Amino acid sequence: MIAALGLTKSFGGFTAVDAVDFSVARGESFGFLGPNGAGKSSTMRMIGAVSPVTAGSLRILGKDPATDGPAIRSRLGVVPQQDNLDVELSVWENLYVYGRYFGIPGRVLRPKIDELLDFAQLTDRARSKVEPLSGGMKRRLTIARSLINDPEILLLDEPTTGLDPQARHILWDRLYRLKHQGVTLVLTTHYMDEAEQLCDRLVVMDHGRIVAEGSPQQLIAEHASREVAELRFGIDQNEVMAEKVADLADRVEVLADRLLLYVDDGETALRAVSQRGLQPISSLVRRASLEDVFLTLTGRSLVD
Amino acid sequence: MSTEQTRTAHLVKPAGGGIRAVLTYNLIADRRYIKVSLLSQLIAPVLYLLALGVGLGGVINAHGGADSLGTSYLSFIAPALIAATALQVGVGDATYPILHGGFKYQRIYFGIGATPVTAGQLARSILTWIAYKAAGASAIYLAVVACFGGIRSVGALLCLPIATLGALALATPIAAFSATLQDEGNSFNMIFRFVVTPMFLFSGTFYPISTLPHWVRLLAWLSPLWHATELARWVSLGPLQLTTGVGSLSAPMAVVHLLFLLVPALIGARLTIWRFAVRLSR
Repeated sequence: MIAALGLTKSFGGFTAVDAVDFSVARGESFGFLGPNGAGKSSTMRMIGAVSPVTAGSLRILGKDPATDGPAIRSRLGVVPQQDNLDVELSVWENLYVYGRYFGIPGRVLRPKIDELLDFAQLTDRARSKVEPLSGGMKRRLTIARSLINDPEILLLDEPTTGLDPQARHILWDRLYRLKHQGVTLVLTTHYMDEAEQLCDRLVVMDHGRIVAEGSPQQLIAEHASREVAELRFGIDQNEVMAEKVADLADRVEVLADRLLLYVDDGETALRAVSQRGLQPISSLVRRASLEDVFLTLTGRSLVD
Repeated sequence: MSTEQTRTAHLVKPAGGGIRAVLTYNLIADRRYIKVSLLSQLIAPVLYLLALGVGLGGVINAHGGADSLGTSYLSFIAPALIAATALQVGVGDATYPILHGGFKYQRIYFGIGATPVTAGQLARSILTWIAYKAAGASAIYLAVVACFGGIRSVGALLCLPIATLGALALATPIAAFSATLQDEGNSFNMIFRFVVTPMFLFSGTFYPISTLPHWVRLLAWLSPLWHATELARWVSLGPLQLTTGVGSLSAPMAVVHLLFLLVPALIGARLTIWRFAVRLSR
């Protein structure tokens, strides 16, 4: 569906996307994970056939965005990072005019809009203006809007950023349904839980480059341990304590407020720590996540 | 979407809905303002024609104005006021809606940019809509002028395309400027205060510019409103062949005025298309 080779995007002297290779297969859920400024959104805008490629090659649905922009865009659905609904129009009108941009006749749009409103759980707000809607509702409307043309690929740029946990879960549920209908999803996120929930396969991006690729499970297995023991010794102590427990773990990561011990068995590690007479203020054991993968690969946290 | 039955994919046009789709959007989006804007577009000419045409015009006519002009003061200023109104409407729509609603806050144009509609089609649609609105405002004004008995020939109907073209001569370069601005700052205020208002005062709207010092008359050449006013008077009063020379224009001069409107309008349109394409493709 999408094939990128040496894909590069520069703005003046700044290289936002630096020769990345990736491909996305039909029906797949593919994610770009990385912190803000990693080049995810620039990549998405190139896939969306709006931002010209600086160098390298990009094929979307077998077509070249440089020459077939409108034809490609006619088969994509796009959920941008910032909602760009017309907030002074009603929910229904937003969907209607969007359908018109794709050349879909009005008589077909009416039943289609009813179905999309149902899907987005916005049926009772159809005649309401967009302005007073909650962030979650606006997001669901943006997603409904992106489906007006039955897209083959749905591009979602930070779909749940800025939403409260409940709104995020509703949104994830809707995206799951789309995935089950066979829609190819391509999304960017800096939330590891979102990537784990939604992506079959993902690439980790940092400073415009792809630093790792695989399924969430593969990435965790390759770049982190099975479990992580988190120890808090107090702000000034972490550095010192790291040296004393270094041999108990595959790897120790020192964060501002805590130590992360990458181990196979967290409880055993915690016991070993206390046997040495070390008493952390608090400790916990959790499964390793994509956050740990990112930390291992880049030495930095995803969310700052 | 377990309930989904309506398929649209086979109905999607690879080239999209084009200019027509965006005009449909403009129509829906502006529909909610229609009552307010129709009302103000009716009231403004009534006020102007009462105050300046009937009131001030009464004084001027009584002091020999109508004789020296060859026609009533009201019928003298009416074509110019139509052109000025179209210009104000056009410039208004070429500023805030483009920067604020389109690119900066609501970012509506970026939503459109993700569809098959191209930046060029979007820009053309916006300019077309501006032309429609300028023409509509001119038509309302002309109707009010008629009610005041200010129309002296059928040629006055040609004020509509002239006023619209005059509006585009200034609105299209400003649309390009609005599409380039990152921040409004005071730019739009400055445009209205230091471009639109002086143009209104010094483009021969209320008096022939021949009464002004020579150097001001040279400046009038830069004013699309002056060219539009000259042409609007020509089509409205020219057929009367007034011995005072008001409304008369030689054919070559008419062509020159027309070019002074057409060229900036076309250049502005090209610039707008270019700036839209640049802004949407980042």
